[in-house]
Amino acid sequence: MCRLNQEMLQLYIDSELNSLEKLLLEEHLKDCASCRKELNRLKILDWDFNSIAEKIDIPALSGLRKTTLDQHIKESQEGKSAFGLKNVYELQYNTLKNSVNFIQHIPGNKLMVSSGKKLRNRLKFSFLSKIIGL
Amino acid sequence: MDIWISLIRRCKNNDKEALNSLLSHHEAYLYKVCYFYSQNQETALDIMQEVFLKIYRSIHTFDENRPLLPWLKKIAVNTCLNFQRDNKKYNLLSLDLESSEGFCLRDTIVSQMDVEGEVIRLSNQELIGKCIGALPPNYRIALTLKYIEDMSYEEIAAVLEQPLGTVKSNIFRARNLLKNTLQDYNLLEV
Repeated sequence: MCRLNQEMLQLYIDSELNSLEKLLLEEHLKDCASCRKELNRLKILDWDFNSIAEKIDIPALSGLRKTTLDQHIKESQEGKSAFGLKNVYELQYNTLKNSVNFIQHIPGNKLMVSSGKKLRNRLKFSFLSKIIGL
Repeated sequence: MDIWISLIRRCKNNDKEALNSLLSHHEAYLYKVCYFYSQNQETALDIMQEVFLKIYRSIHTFDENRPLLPWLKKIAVNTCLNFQRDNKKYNLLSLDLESSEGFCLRDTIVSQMDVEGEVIRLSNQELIGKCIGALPPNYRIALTLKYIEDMSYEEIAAVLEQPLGTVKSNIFRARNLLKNTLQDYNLLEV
């Protein structure tokens, strides 16, 4: 058996040889009985593979599709409704920020801001003052 | 607008009906990949379950300008390969032993199944199916893409992100293993 040709024969049945290689192999096959026999075996195997691939029975998949879909929808809704500490913090922050928003519009705001800044420079101001913009 | 793109957009919004109809179009094809790879209906269904979930969870990352089928195919292929890795009950083989590899692998095929008993019981193709199931995952996935997808070596290398030479040798070795096993029982003679 020609060892080199074993791989060539497989490439040949897969149509992966270039034209020169194909020509050479076909010439060789004319004279070499053992390679011809080997090619036959490979063709039978190839035919078997193809018919296995064609004959695959497809079971009803709609049930599986629906149960996995339900599972996914349930998971994604749980993900959405999960209300963590971060959400509480954000909500509180926004509520406070909106509730003191009116300060921006009352007369004397500029004065308050500038005196606030002076104060802040002197004291370490709380987080609250940052929110209300003083 | 293209009907597929609008369907995919609805899927991205977690629209149950859209997801259902998108997968009902492609599931048979994906199942074939899983089945050929595992050669076992139960395992194929387990893999399909994961494939479904992965598609639902990651459809929002899909780029609508690209074709859908290769994306689905890639998910199925990766799930098959990972499924094997996660399942310790399968016999994973070391591929390091280059010189004696063929011998070792062949021994595993023979030892994992009672070939002699199966020859009498099963049809030729059922037996080949069983033999495919006993091959290492790398060989099996290459064969799956070759025969289910009818892909060229180059396309297989691109999907698996492996060098062309690796794909070539995987297919060559897989075929050789099966050929030698079947030849011992004169199943490939004309």
